[in-house]
Amino acid sequence: MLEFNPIIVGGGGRSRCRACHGSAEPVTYRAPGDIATRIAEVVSASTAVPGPNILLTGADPFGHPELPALVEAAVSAGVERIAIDTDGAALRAGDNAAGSLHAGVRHYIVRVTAADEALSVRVTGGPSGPAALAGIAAVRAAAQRLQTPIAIEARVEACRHTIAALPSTVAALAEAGADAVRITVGDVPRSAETSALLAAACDTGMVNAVWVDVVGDTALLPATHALHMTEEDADALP
Amino acid sequence: MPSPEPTRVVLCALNSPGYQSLALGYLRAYAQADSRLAGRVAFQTLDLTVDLDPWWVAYRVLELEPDVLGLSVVCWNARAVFEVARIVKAARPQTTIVLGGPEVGPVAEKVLAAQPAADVVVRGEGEATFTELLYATTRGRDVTRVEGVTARGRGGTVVSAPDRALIADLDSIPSPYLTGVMTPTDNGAYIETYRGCPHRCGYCFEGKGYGRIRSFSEGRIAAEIDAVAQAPGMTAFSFIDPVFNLTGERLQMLARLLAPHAARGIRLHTVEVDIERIDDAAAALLARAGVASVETGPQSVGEAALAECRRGFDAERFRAGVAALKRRGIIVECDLIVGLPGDAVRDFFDGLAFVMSLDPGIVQTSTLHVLPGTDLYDRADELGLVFDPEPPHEIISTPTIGYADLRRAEVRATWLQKRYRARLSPGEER
Ligand code: SF4
Repeated sequence: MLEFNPIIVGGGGRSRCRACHGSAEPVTYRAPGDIATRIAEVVSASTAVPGPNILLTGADPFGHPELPALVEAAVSAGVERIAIDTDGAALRAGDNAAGSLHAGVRHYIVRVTAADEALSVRVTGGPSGPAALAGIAAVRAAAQRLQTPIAIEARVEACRHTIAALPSTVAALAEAGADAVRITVGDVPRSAETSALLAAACDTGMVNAVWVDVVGDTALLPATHALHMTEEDADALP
Repeated sequence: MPSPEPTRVVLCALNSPGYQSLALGYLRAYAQADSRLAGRVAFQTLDLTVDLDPWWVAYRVLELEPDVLGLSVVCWNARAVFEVARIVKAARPQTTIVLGGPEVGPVAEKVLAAQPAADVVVRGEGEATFTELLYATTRGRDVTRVEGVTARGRGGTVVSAPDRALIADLDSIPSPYLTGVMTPTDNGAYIETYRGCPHRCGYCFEGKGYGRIRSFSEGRIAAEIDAVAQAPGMTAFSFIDPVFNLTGERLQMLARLLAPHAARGIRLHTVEVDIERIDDAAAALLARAGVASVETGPQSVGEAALAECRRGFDAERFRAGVAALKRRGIIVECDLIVGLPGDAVRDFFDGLAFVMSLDPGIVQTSTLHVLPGTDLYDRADELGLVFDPEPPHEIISTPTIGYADLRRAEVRATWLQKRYRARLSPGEER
């Protein structure tokens, strides 16, 4: 219903499950001029209604030294919805949460591997989960203070190393202030237990009024939870 | 001989924050104008908000030591109102508690059976019935004989007097604004120019309950508009008419009356329109009237639900109407209901996708409430609608959507609305 055009600001640096994906690639960022040009191209070619909307993605945009200028370029180009695909940790720092809102960002996509600190350290090599939760809480608080409508979506990749914690990850994201959680089903055991955990994650979202949708191998979700299945991952992250 | 103490009448409404009850304003203005009650009845109005603790509301009521307490009841405040009634009755049993409004009128006998604290229910249009009820009370007459009243008779049996005919000449109801019964507040005042609705939507009480259209005169409408629009500090108000663009002539008349105020910057918010009848000329009239935002359907785009609810929907005309309004800078709020009979979850989300594709400005979804007095309430068994018998009568399941999927649809729709709302508006300050 809402189309976001991805704008690649760089590559690498994402903390994911090391057992499944290996260590993170080194981070690189594209030149701000190139990105601004790309934004202008996308906006002028966009026929999206509602829109135009863009998603700054690839490497974490908060690491880009010229992020304010990039957001400003998007605002000047007439972008209606600016989304940032972030690991969330940077939202805790300094004035990033309120600053990004002031600049014009309204959508936050926060990648989370696991909320629990010990699990997070074990699978990603650092406390990325708690940092992401703190980032979500910071931007939620800033939006409330500024009375600015925002949308926060957490993206969680479920793999055999994190699936058991999925319901508690959803609960923690809800508590931090996420509006929705998208679970991508990765390399998980094809078992009744996996189905039960996916269903429990969806139900945990429901009782916290947080929407959970599931992409990937949706056949693992029980049929009772068919509404949570998203067949086409139209806005899959790179 | 000293004149007897007047009967103390307290009228109380639990409103949405920022609003006053026009219904109570009408009741009071009508009763106060009746010479038979002059000097015999003293009124106080408590316009409170639904978020208040019912014990505190009861405190405010009891401080006034009412002989008669009139409470306005709609589906979304009914639970709180019933609690207020219980507390007041327990603390002051001699107070006669009168309920009125669409939540209680159509099911008056059931309400009195379920709410022992209530003594009387005023059914249907309240002004004349409430006045006659007060007259009977002040004369010590049997209120169960007052047309339009359901009350406890001797021995506590619930008795319903015959229905009362609708007021033929709406101008006979004095204006609460022109009489000073209500003081218009900025962004909270609204005007009614007619009653009834030409449509008969299955989930709505307006068309079924108030039948044919009766209008206030143009002179009365003009005087109310002037009074409200010129009230100190007024910047915006609204109309509660079911369809603001009821006819082309009426829209022209309203635009003419409102234009001088619009030229001073007075705006109208969320007036209800039949969007499929809006072309460029109608949009221009709405803009001239100062309309900043309108509210409209489609409520559903599912053929089966539209048929069950007796609603029309023409996607192209709807789209054209939204486009015409957007060209005039008027924000459109598109409303959808989840849980209508005949709709599957997919129909609801098709509706959401449709309205979002129009980028109307505001998208609002709600869950079906099966309200007393509506066609869906009467046909609930036939349609297989399971709903909460307690107000606000939310749908529990339908033959095409089960309980859990209704809740899922609500949560997903809320998320999609948040995504839509999170945007930069043109010229937004950052
Ligand atoms: S929903 Fe609106 S158009 Fe339909 S009957 Fe009610 S007031 Fe009339």
